[in-house]
Amino acid sequence: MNSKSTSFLMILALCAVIIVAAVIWLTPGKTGPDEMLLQLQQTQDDGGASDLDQLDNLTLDL
Amino acid sequence: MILFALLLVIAPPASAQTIPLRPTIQAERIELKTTILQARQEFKTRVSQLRDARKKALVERINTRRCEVIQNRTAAMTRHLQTMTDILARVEQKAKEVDTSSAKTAIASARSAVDTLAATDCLLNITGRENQLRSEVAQSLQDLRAQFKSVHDQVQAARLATAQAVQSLAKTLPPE
Repeated sequence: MNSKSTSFLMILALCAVIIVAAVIWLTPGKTGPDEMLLQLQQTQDDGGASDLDQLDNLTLDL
Repeated sequence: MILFALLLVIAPPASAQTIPLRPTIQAERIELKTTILQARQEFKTRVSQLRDARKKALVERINTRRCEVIQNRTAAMTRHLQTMTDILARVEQKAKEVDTSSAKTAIASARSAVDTLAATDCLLNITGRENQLRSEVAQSLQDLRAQFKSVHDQVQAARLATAQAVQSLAKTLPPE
């Protein structure tokens, strides 16, 4: 009985892990190309131009 | 069979080629540190030659801020390149047939440019002559702007190449 219930619990846990993995994999926007492109978009910036503009303004006081 | 065995004996292991490089890299790092320390000392000396206390304080402020900007920019670009690398890994995981080689090359090239920028001396290049101070600081900032643009362009190229790989992935996946 004990070993049977242990096996049952192990199978249940395995199923739960598979279901969670499947949900994560299939959730739209989480790992798909759209989400990747969005993440890529977030890596865009001005390349430090605004910081350098501030420094240029400080130079005017020299 | 004999030829194969001979090849195995003659061919050096891949790791054997990397070992002699280590002392060279260490020596280069020590040299770089020494150069930076010397440059800092030189900068301090030149700033101390300035008579106007207000200008002295301002130059020091600009210099500190300039170093911070370089540090922040290189950290941000490194973070962005890591995001691109992670995305490419996910693309490869989802579809092995998608070609990610050009994106990888672009990222490696950008990473190298960022590392070079991070390792360079961030100090302002001044002579200590008060009448030339403004133009020298302006020139130093202009040079940095050019450096930033060059590295930023490479990061953008890496982003574009990564986006192309993602778009290729999108084409291989079945429509939802």
